[in-house]
Amino acid sequence: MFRLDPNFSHQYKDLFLQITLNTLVGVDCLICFRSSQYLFKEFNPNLLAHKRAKGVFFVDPLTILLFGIIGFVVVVGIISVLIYNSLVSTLKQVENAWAQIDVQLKRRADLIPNLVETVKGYAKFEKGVLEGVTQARAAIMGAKSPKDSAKADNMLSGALKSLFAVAEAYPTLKANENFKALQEELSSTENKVAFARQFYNDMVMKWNTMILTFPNNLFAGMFGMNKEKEFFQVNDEERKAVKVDFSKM
Amino acid sequence: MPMDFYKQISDNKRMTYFLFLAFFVLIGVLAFLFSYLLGGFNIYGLSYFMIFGFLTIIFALVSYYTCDSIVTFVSGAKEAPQEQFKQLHNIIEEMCIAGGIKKPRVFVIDDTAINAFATGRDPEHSVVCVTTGSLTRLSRDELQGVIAHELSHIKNYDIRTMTIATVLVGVAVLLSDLILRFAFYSKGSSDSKDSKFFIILLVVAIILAALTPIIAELIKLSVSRKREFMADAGSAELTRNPLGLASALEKINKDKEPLEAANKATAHLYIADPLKGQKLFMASWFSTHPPIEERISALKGMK
Repeated sequence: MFRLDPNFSHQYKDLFLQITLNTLVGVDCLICFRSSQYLFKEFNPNLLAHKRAKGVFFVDPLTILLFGIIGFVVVVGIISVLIYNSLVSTLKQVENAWAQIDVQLKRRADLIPNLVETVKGYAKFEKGVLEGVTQARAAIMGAKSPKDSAKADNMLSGALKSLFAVAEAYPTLKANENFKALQEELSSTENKVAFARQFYNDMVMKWNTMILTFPNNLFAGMFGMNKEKEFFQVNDEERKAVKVDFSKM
Repeated sequence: MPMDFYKQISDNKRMTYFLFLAFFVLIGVLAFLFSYLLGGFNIYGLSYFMIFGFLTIIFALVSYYTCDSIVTFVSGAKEAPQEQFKQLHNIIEEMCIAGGIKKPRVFVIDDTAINAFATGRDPEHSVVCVTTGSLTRLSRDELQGVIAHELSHIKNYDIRTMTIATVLVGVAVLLSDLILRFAFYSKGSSDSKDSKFFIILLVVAIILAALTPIIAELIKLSVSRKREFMADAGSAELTRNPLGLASALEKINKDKEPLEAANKATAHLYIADPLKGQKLFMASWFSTHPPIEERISALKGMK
């Protein structure tokens, strides 16, 4: 019934736990320090015997020091487990975010045949534009490397843009319910691809921040989880605006 | 400052912690005064407090777990099928991808006013509701900003925060009520120096107890306003387009028509105050939402 959600605990539980554990570590260090101080500087066997004789509850400093060290090790152990778990769950979130981008890209590719069928009926529609879209989709399906699929992806965006630009000149096509629905679907899918990439970048930012901030940075190297991830970026040649070339149609 | 919503989000989170700290300080002071004045825990007062405190928590838990069904029922909202409201569903799905949360159930209210609300204890049991007026009168970007604001509320567990705040108000009010009731039974001290201090403390306690309902309510409303700012910044974080929400708020501001489905109990959930001047206390301190002009300028400053 009172399941602790990872997002919620990130807000409240984390702060509460951090304060508690840091206080414990601080108190522990204080105990170790004071008891070792007593042990090495002020050690007075007569004082110890005197206090025991008085019947006051007295534990000798060596025991306190040992308990302090054990307590310190236990608390650090708990902290390292918590940090390890949060690192693992964030890493999985980053991987999931990357996979989600592909889901949206595939969805866009799947919508294309439907669009081509709807537009084909308008016989006067420029064949070249339709062919451009079909070819771009084929390129995506056949892409072998991430670089190829990024190029094909860009080609498809450009082809779709020119298709919708040309469709402006066909009022009957524009009014076609199917076409309007497809237009909304495709534009929504383009948005979803963009937002999926944005979410991936947000997760990468969260991960990079997590492995670099204190105290996680102390433990991340130990667990082999200190590699920063790359942001999804548009490289320079893709940044150039896609040219709509009507001469080739 | 370009894209400064991160700072706004963390500032508002910090303010929420401080405000909750203020709650606990208030309750702590009241509890201390209560026990001091009575020279120890009075069994009648304690049992009264425990019964009503328990009931407050039960009511809060019930409302927390059923808030999604209750509010939609009270507002007359109807489930919005995907075939009929394709664009709305698309916008919500886009924002869920950007926020990494599960898609909530979608409802619509048939009203020409522009407004929206979100409720639900966590993203798995959440509901988003939009008026049909918003669908016709807002552009796609503006509607996206509004939806992103509501989804930020769900993502930030604001319903949970406000329920906790309500419980704290209830506890503070109960304690203050107890102090006022049992003030007459307080034992004085025989020592003259002590009794002067005691009387001063008694007077202070009575004044504080009388003012506590207002103070606690003000703290809760302040939390509500901070969460609204945080949701605005969260909307900018999701859409990366603060101007969308800003122009939607401008449209809402110009529209003087109140939302018929809303009442005082549900008003705090909506994106903008739906009662538009029908309330008794109009001062900004008593408002669940920050002034719209301030929200618009904060959003424009993020660009």
